[in-house]
This record gives sequence, C-alpha cells and structure tokens, in this order.
Amino acid sequence: MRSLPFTLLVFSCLVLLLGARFGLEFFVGPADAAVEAGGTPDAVMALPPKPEGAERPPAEDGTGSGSALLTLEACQAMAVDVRDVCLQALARQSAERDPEGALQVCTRIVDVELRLECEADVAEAIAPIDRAVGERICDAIASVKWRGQCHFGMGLATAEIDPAYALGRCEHAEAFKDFCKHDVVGEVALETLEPAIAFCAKEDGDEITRRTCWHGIGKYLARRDFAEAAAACVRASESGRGICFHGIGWGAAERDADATLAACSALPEYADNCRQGVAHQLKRFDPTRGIAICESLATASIRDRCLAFLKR
Amino acid sequence: MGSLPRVLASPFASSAALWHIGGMGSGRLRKPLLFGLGLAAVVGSSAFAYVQLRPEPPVVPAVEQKYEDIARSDYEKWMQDLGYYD
Repeated sequence: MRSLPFTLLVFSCLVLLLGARFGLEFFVGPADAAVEAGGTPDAVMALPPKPEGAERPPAEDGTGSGSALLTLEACQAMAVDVRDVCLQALARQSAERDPEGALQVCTRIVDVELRLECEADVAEAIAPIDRAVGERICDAIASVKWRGQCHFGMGLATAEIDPAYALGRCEHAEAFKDFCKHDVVGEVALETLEPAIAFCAKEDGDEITRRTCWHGIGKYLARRDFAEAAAACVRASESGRGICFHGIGWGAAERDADATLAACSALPEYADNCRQGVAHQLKRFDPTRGIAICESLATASIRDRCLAFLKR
Repeated sequence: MGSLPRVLASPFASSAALWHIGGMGSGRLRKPLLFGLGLAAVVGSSAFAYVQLRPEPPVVPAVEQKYEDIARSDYEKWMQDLGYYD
C-alpha cells in the first residue's frame, strides 16, 4: 500500500505526542493536585490567625460604617464566585440580631472553608451579647481548625468586656492557643493594662507561651503609642522584657519604620530588641533593609537571631 | 499541557511536514526518520500506558492539627513568620 509509510508516520507522531503530553503531566505534575484545602500540616500552619475582631454590622438606620445592607435576594443574584462572600457578609450583618438566622445563611455557602468561617464569624459577633450561644456555635463546628478560630474570635470579641473570660477562651483555641493569648492580652492591654500585666506575670506555659504573652502587650500598645508601650514593657518579667520591646518595634514599625528605629535607638535598654522587631516586620516588604538593620545590631545573639530569621 | 483534541490533530500536520522533509532530495531520510519515530513511538506509548495504568494517588484528607500535635519548633517558626515571636 503506497500510503502505508505515511500512515505509520502519522501513527508514530500521534503516539509520540500523546506520550509526551502524559509524560510531561507525570513528571511536572498537574496544577490541581488532589490535596484538599488544609490537607497538610504546613497548609494548616500557614493559615494566619485573624488579628481583628469581627466587624460590627451597620446600624439598622444605615448610620455607622456607611456600608449598604445586604439581602439574601441580592446575594443569590450575584455571580457564583462572589455569592459565597456576599452570604458570609450577610450572615455577619445579622448575627447580633438573629444568630440562628445568620447560621441558616451560612448553610447556603457552597465553599466548605468559607462556610465554616461564616459560622465562626457568627459566634464572634454574638459573643459580646450572649456568650452561651457563641460557645454552642463554636462547639458544634466539627473542624478542629475552625473550632479553634471560633473560640479565638470569641476571645477577641470579649476582650474589652471581660478580660478573664476572653483569655479563658484561648484554652479552646486549639492550634491557635498562643496566638489567641497574644492578641487577646494585647486587646486587653489597650483597654486596661493591669489585667494584661497580671495575666502575663503568671508565667504560665512553656517559654514560647510565656514570652509571647509579653510580646502581645508591647505590639498592641506600640500601635497606639511608643512611649506608652515602653512604660508597660519595663514592667515585664526579666525573661519577657526583651521580647516585649521586640513587640514594640514590630507594632510601631507597622506605621513608620524610620520613626520607630529612631525611637528604639533612644531607649536606655533593649534598643537592639526593639530594632530587631523593626527588622522582622520589614522582612515581608523590604527584606534588604531588614537585613541591614540586623547587621547593625550590637548584641551578637540578637544580631544572629535577627539575620537567621531574615534570611530564612 | 495542551488540550487533547489539539494533541490528536497535530500528528497529521507534523506527519505531513516530516513526510515532506523526508522526501526532499533523494528520499534517503525516510527510513531513518521512520525508525527514529518508531522508537520514539514505543517510548511514548510506554509512558502513556504507564501514566494511565498507575494507581491514583490517595487523596490526603484535611489534616486538622491540635495544639499538642504541632512541634514546638514549628510553632515557634509559625509565630515568628506572623510577627508574634522574636
């Protein structure tokens, strides 16, 4: 058959190309690997805790934040990719008035992670009004991760009202326990310093837990006022003072790194800890400058630790 | 990676091009060309069969770690990265 060689040629090319396609897929790997969201410890650990409490929904008369009131119909009419986000916002909007209704809205969310976050947000919103309902909602969440986030959120939401209760919530925050203590104690310190100092002074837990507590005080107060934060950190325990000033450096650098560096340099003690905090904060946005700050630190141990983190 | 219809259609175009190239001059290139492509086809078909026949990787269920399950050194790095620790 005169066309046989050509036919063989076509067949060879076809098989070659098919083999190349699937072979590449095997070696390079498909873009959508079969690992569910949060499927590895690293993925779980990579989830940043929510540092702020839930936003309060706008007042019924439309005053307050000025954002428009959402309705279920409006959300359902939206495109699929934003519908879930809209429903989550709608649930948060009505959570204080009608938590059960808000939870019903959450059940309409298709994305599993967003649905669980929605339930946690409802609990966070209702916590200042009815703690029991909030706790019930959190305890009903099957996901360990989102149950922990839920209690974390309740802690943040009640920090100003009842510091002892808020800090107690952190014991239920699962993987976020120390993050919770850090942020809740920081929120408490902003409202009234004495309970925060007293809590950290108990020195509960291991080294990370104890030192993180003081870091929270320094960081949160520094976001408001550097001098106020420095006065608080001086009251920290001996083992907590350095990291408290690190927190000051980080917190203040979020607003103005240059001014913070100058203020750190003026400190009679713990200037290097403070500057280290600035360098650490700069890692995400200006790592080159962060490294330069680390290299300028006088204390060898702090300099080494600083550089190890910046270069990691 | 290239859509399957495109992959299926391209052999005709590539074969026609190769046939023309192989036919240029005295046509002596056709046999070595066919031999090389045949060899590549064997390799390609083997890879194709392997990918199709290999077992599916197990789906990793969402791991939800409790506080006590996370190594403290990992926890420390996590906190450092997020600005909670020095």
